[in-house]
Amino acid sequence: MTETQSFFETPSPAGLTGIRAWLFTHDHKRLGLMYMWAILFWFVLAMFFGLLLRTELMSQGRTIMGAETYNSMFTLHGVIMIFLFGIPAIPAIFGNFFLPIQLGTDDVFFPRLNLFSWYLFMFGSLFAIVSLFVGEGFPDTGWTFYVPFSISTAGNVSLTVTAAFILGMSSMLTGLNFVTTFHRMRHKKMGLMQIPLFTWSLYATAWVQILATPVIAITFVLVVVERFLSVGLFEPDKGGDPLLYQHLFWMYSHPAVYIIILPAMGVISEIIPVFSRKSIFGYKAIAASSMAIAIAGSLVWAHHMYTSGMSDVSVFVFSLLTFLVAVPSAVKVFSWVSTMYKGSIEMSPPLFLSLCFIYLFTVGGLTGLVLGAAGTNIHVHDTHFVVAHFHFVMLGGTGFAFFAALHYWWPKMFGVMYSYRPAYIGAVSAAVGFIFHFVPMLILGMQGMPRRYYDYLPQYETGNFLAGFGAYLLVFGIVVMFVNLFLSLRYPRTAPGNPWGGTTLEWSISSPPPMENFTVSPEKIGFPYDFSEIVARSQKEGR
Amino acid sequence: MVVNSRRIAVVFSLLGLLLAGAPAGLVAHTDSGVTEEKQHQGPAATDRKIEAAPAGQVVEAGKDWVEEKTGAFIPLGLSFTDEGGRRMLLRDFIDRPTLLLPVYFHCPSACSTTLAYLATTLGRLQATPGKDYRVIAFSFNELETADDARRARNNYLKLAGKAFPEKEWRFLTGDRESIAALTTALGYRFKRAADGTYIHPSALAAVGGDGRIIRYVYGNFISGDVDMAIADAAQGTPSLSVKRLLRMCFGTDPQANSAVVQTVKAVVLAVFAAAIAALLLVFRRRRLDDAGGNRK
Repeated sequence: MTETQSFFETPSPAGLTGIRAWLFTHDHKRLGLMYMWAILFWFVLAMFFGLLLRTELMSQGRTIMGAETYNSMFTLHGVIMIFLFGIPAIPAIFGNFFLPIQLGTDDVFFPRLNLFSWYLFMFGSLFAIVSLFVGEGFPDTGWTFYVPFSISTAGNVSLTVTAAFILGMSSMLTGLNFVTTFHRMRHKKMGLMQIPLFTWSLYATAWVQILATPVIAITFVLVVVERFLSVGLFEPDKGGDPLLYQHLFWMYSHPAVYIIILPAMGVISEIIPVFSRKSIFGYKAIAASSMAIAIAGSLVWAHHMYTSGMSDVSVFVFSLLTFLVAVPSAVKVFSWVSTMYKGSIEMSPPLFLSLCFIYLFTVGGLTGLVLGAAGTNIHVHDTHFVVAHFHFVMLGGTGFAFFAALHYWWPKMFGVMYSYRPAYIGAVSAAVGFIFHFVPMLILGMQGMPRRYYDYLPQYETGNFLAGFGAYLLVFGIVVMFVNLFLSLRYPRTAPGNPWGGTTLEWSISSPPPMENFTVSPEKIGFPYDFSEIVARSQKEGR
Repeated sequence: MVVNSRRIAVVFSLLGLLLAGAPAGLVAHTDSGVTEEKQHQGPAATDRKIEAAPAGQVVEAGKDWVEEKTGAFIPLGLSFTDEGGRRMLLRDFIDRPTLLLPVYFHCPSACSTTLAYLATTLGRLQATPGKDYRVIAFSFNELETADDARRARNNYLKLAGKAFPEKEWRFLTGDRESIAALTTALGYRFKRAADGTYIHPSALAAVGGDGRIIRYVYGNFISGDVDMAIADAAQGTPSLSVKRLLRMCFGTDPQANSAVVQTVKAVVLAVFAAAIAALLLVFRRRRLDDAGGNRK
């Protein structure tokens, strides 16, 4: 491979230097990295908030903070993790960086819009945090802001909904960029069934982003109309219906959960075949199930509202639809496991983290069914069971997929290789810590410990202590993984263009990629998971 | 291939439009006699007085449905009528942690589910009724009588389970002044609608044996929640309530404004139809152009 200048050395647009080369860039790769630093900052912040929460809960009574501090801290933890980490993490970082490369093109369809949505994200995230602190005192609503129309929290809530809208706008523009790039910029010879699965999952996510975000915008307008024009929309006093607000809120916020998990599934679909040296099992089924999750996932929002007094018919319908979402998710898990069957598996940190993902996500999915069924839901509603469930999906699922993606694409993004041993140590302690952290919470929930409480009854102490212990192990593992990655930047060992033997297009170019991705347009576009050449080559090298 | 992907794009856009339309229909069909809201929920900026409040007493809580007054005391000297028609002072009953639930017994909407939730929760509590705590459900409708209270008691005590001692859960009615004094002390607001039903939140307050307000419990009650409140009340330490969703109870007639809903539906369908037609036209023209281009 000839020596080419990487995108780090080539600013886009040309002529910009220093910090300006980043702040005014149109290059999707630079934008991906800019998202990465911002998102990692928020993630680490919220992670430590979470750790403080668990420390407080480790023993009964006041441990390190008072009840009000506790409440505002869990609000911050939730808001940051959902809006500033979960939703943007994989699409904004890895999607921006790799979607154009996997499609064999030089950039996204609207590069300037891409830069604009980064600014929207930065502005929206600051705005969200600031809005929580304006108004009266500390925020304590949790991330759902179920307080749209009260007078006492009026200013606060309008601002927070605005912030959610700005952030939503940012992710919507990113989604728009992905859909247009997918259709219009794809390599001429690349057919729909030759597109890598990560890109497929981003495409499905993008549609959810584009269609769901307007709902939160509409809600915002309605709140404003009610407040300033005194039209009764949500306020029963004026003849409005508070349930309507909940419907509208979840109509955006539940699909947001699929915005969080779908790209994570895409990451796993990339990693498993590469380290199994075997074509992915059920390519079409995985691509189709991404779309199916996107569609079915947009129709299940009211399962958050079983106990809100909806009609029984609605509860039945939404319960049924919720069960339907499990089908495409199970198809994916089945396909990943089948891909590994009779593969020639090579263990590596990304693969290890992906295996953790499969296990933890499956637990998350199954506990989700407990909650999705209207009957059992009543029993565990608003208890720690719910908290454990969505952490299994969000952290055990998306979080571990995010770590896997970092370890998988790190050599490509920075052209450096990290050491394996600390990565394994970090991954193992994170996984073990995770289990120690959240399994006790599942049990506590079954025993009836309500969520959001600063304190608890004596019989819950053992479980909470174990969970706190797990939290420390988990955070330790994550910190080790991150430090290991950063050390690889400081003491670089050059990574080859294709360290893993991957077959998708990003592995056919040098690391880090050159400015316009491909110095020569790729000639042959085949099935993206055809490992025959890789296997033949390694056999020739006698490995 | 390009044409192919374009076709798929059209299919997906249509699907998207349909999906966007579906929620509108579904929301219109959910009936909503009962809903939840957050605690800090308030009506518009009116300094409305509580209707049942005695003249001249301006209720500060005008803006929030429940204004927490944790740490304050309720007047234990108030007199109410129990389900047997006997007068009783609150002091006679509240001598240990007590759960106070404001409802009205002839409620067409959420109160029955609220009472039922409370009853089943009581059956699951770890605290022992009579020993650790007592329960009062009182009506804030001054027109209701001991007969209504008795009927309610017969229904809901059954749900709490056979083991629940019937003397430990009282169903009270009272006159306008007592009701106003108690609800004001609790910071609880309700409003009578034109048809005689009430708009009010579903929440209970746990008070200590001395009448000190310890904690509010919102939404549908979780046994863990209520157990915590009782434990705090036993110690007499007022504590921060967990701001859960506040269930609102109000009467709605789903048919009332159905003309509006129908109009909205028709307009939405028309807009979608127009959008789909426009899309199809654009794509058809473009395909014709492409075909023309090829011929050249």
